[in-house]
Amino acid sequence: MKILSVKTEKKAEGTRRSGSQRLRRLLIRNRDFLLPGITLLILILVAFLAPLLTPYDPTKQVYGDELLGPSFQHWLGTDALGRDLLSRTLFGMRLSLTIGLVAATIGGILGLSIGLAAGYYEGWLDDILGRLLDTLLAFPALIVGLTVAVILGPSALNAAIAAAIINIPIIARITRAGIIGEKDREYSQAAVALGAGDGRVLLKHLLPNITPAILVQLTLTIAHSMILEAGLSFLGLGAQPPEPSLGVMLQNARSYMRDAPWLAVVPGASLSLLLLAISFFADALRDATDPRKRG
Amino acid sequence: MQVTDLIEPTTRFRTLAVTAFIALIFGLSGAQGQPQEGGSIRVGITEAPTSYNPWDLGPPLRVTGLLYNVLVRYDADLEPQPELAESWTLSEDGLSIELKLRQGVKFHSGREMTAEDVVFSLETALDPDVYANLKPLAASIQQAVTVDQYTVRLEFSEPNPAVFDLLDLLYIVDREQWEDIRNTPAGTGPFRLSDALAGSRYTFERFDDYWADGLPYLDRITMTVVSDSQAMALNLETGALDLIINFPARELDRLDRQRNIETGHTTDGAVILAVVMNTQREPLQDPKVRQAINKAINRDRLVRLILEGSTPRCQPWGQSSIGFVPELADDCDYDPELAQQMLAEAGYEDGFELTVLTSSQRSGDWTRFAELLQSDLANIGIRATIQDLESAAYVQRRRESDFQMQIHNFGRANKDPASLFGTVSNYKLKNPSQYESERYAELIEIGATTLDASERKKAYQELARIIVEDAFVLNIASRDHAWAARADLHDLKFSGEGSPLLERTWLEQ
Repeated sequence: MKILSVKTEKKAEGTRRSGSQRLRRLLIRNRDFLLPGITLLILILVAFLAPLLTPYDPTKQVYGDELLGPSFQHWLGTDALGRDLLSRTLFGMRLSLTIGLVAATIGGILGLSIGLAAGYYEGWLDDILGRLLDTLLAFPALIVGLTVAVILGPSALNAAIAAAIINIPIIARITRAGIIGEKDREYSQAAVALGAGDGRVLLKHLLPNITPAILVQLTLTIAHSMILEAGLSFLGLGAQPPEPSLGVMLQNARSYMRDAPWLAVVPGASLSLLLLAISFFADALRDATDPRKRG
Repeated sequence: MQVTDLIEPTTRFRTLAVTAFIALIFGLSGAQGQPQEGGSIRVGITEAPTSYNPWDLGPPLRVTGLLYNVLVRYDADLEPQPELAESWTLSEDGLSIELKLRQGVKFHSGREMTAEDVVFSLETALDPDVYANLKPLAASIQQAVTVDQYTVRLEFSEPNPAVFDLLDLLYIVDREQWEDIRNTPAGTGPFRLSDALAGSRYTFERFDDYWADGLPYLDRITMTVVSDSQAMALNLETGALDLIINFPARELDRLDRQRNIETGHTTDGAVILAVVMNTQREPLQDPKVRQAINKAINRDRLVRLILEGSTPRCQPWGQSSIGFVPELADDCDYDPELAQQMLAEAGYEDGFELTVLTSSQRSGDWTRFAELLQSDLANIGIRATIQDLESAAYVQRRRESDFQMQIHNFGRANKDPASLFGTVSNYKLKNPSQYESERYAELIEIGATTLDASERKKAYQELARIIVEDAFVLNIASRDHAWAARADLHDLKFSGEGSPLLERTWLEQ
């Protein structure tokens, strides 16, 4: 057992590479990354470059051009108020992704801090933080979203805040569990024995070893936050008109399901595609970083 | 020469056959027009009745028409028709009206209705705690006298031209059952509540002792609350519901195209979608700015996109009203260039920021209209933000005049203008717009107290001009609640408030 671990460590030591090299190797070795990775990359590029790519202002209502089908002028047609559907969809995707990233970042930082502290110190601190997290975890995402919307008012930013709140316990628990599993290992004990402070042990020694698991979770968190935003917007508690949001677009499309089905299909398919790409990407990431699968 | 001689026997036979066939068809259609008794129907409503008090506005309106009667009811042409009162005589000086009540009318409790119940109902309805809305209509009532068991006389301090508006809303309640009215209905209506699952299903049975012989035709009505109006429309199409009330105007067209579904509006020009502006807030305190906004609104587009089947409005009332001024129609024509020019004249070349209150919880159409309005305003440089409030917050902000602009709708636009100025908060002397003008108050007073038709006409026409000119409330379009029903449900009627009246409704079996 011992010999084996020394061996692997040596191997890792001997093949130390730069970050970009490692990433490239990771991608090549894991073909699973290819499809979701490229899809996601394209979607992200298209979404964030929306202001450059879209031919129309997503909030501009062209009088007389309502409910047009897909055509050369409007590739995906126009909505009930004469707004270009393609432009709205791209801007909607941008909003979704932004909210997903913001929520994952805020929730990730807070969750990580709480998880690190709870896992490392355990004892009463862990008890208190643990119960608080359990409480938070007990609420369904939509309930938290509704509460935030009622207290802070409905807006896209507040939907992001709600999603961030929901992400905190998820990230915190994974971090805590990882830290508890790692902190009694020899390398950690060794660092303590060499006189490293808590901060150094946590950030330099323990955190890098649990990063993969957190990264996978964070990726999924982005997807969950996007779903929550779309849900809240659908209910009128997220992005406010005329801001293009996929959830709002789906809500508006409901009354035109029979006359203009593309109004619902386009934002719905875009959202699904984004979520699928992210989920598969997270899956591939997990497989790639899973020590049991690492060659 | 006899004509028949010229016709060959076979032809004669054919003529006979055709005649018989035509007669048969006519006979059948005759049978079709004959009401049939029995049957039960399922009605879909979007909001559960919160009370059985007939004077509670809002969701309870869906059931008041089944449970209660009034003394005199307006027909479609706004002509008063006898209901619980058989006849009435207005005194020459207009200072009193004597109503002869129908005899043998029974409440659901089994007790007979008498003049005392009528007086009780009137006094209750005028109790500010119950229904302050009705009070202005009856402001001039000095006293209600029970002449005998079946005769009531109302005495006015000054002539009351809107007396039938009042009677049309004066539901007769059982004075011995009043205390628990919120939970237990106490009327004389054609149906009585037999079972209620609060918030979801309400069952009404035929009231066997109903005063009108042979009515109602239906045995049972089940009202089911389907909060999603689109799901409700789908339920009608699949046959899970027989009649639906209050669904988005957009669905109307689609439902109307189906062969086995009939559609219509519960009220005709009674409910008006409006933009209310606060005349005490910058920059809307300038009438020029308000007029510019009026010219910037594209009413036709709104009607086409959201309120299919309704008509744009400029004055609060329609063509049939005594206050209607034909020349005013152009004042609300869409003209963004002129609007921009007016805005510049008022000193706002670069436009300004504005917040518009709406509440999707109260009506989805409001918020969709807000989006259109936002775009219309953007065209003349006004940057509007939509604030979508939860219903209670919306009402509070409105009550406290804490808004710049809000989307709203008001009812009773099809009644006598006196009712409008007396009971519709947008146009009352104390209004959310905080609009005040001496002439406005004076004219309302004239209209409410004069019986002379030509003088009233003059007063209301001037009021129409003031309303359009001072633009504190912009009338946008009539927004009447739609209904749709299976085609073999006949003779549906709705009260002026939009409450279904189903006593003569019958189901073809």
